[in-house]
Amino acid sequence: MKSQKIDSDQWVEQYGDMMFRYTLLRVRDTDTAEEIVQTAFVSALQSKDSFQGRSTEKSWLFGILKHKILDHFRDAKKNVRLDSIGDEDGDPLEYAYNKLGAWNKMPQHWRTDPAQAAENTELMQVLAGCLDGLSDKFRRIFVLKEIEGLSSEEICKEFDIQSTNLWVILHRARNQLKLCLETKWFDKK
Amino acid sequence: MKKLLSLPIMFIEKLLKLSCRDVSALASENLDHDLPFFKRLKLKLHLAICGACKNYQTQLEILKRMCASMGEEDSSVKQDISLSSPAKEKIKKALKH
Repeated sequence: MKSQKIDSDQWVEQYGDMMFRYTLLRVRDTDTAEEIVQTAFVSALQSKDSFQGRSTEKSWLFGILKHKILDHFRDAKKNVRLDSIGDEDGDPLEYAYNKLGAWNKMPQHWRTDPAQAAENTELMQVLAGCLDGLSDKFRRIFVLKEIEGLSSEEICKEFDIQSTNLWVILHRARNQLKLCLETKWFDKK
Repeated sequence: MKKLLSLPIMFIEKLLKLSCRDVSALASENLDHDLPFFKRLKLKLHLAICGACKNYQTQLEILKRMCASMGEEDSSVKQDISLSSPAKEKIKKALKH
């Protein structure tokens, strides 16, 4: 790209929507997502000389975008303390066990496998809706771990969370999503 | 001697003594880091004999795989959503400065 002149209008037309969708899935709020995409484009333009064609233009842009999204999460941690579990954060699946901790309501087989489920566009949309039902704190941590793919160690270090708290939060978020998927999809099938 | 004989039984009891509630937490934790040997063994033993917990574990695996797929650059999720025209114009303008 060094010798090429960048057509920034073309950039926005070609990659804007997919970068926006990618960001929106992670940060939920439209204005914030637009802002992050803009920051990523501006920063890409400023560092265009660093693009040496080792990757495609698209993956280079997404690399920059990912950094900007993580920067956003880092800034946001000042407002929402992630390392605390309050009463409102209880296990949503608690009702499914009896006093001895055995299942009252047995988990059913969902009659699909991981690969099949991931290819089911309709089911994926349902999951995206369920994700938006998580509280801000749970959503952030869950997104970083399961959607962004950060390791537990990275999350604990970056966001000052104790690993045991991280596991509890992830477990409860998973349970909430599981129940939501059952209500909105699996129980209806 | 009697005490000595009861040791293996106590060990087996300890291995199996795990409620489904505990197992569900362990199955989830197992996705986030490598469990220590003893915990891993307890989880495996319980899953081998408890169909309900096995189902729960599979549900978590399905959820995990769906999330990973959702995180990809070309994910099929939210395909109906795009940047608004004013937002596009705003970004284009910012890139001209």
